[in-house]
Amino acid sequence: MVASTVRKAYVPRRSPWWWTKNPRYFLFQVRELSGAFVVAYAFLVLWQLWALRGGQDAYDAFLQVWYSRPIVVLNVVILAFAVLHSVTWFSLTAKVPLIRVRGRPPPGAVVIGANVVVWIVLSFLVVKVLYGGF
Amino acid sequence: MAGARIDRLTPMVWGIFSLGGFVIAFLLPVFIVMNSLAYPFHLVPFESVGYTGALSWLRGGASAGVLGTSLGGLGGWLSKLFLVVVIGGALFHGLHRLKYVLYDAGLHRAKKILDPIVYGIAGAGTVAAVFLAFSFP
Repeated sequence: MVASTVRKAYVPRRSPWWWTKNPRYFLFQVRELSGAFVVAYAFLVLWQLWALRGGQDAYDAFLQVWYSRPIVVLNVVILAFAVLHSVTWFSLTAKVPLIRVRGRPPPGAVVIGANVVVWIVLSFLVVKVLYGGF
Repeated sequence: MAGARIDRLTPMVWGIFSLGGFVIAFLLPVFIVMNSLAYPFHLVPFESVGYTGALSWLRGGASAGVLGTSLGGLGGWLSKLFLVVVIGGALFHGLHRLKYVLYDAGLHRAKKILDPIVYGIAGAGTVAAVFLAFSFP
């Protein structure tokens, strides 16, 4: 026979504002939130493509909104979150020993530095090759 | 063991999350600058972002000058592929992250419903990006 026990389960209580208590938690939550902004931008671009497909008038109307102040401000905010994602992602890759040099993972600073170099080179290539420069 | 089910899906979505993380870490900031902020901050003239300019960009017009005549035709594919990769990467990466934010907010009990919704939106958005981008001649 299985003895029935009365047990009082421990239910941890957590304030909805737990992430404001510590700068590390705050950065974590803000970083996770960058996902929302990144997704929002993907949908904005889909909307842009849809408008472009609609022809000259539809795209002109779209650009009126696209370059209005609130949307430009929104895009600056999205850019800030995108850069936060890049920086935190690069420091994250330093924690994952994907490659080993003489049996040891390379120092974090080297991995982050290499990522930043690739980031700069790719950004430059996008501007230069895809957009034909300024 | 006949009864053991191997979870192949979870590693796969984490893999796509990671791939998307790299794609948008490297490519999204420069794309936002060029696509949304270059004109308001007076980096490019209106001609390059207006209807004709945007169409020309999508067809590889902007890159033709750099790639030369022999590779000029590649430009259109490059722009469209770029859009699909950035949109798809952003959707799969961002929505995966949001899913865990929602789990943290107490929705982990709704995993069975939440997972198909989240990856369904990401998949549908990526398919939409393919169709929209490649619908331009």
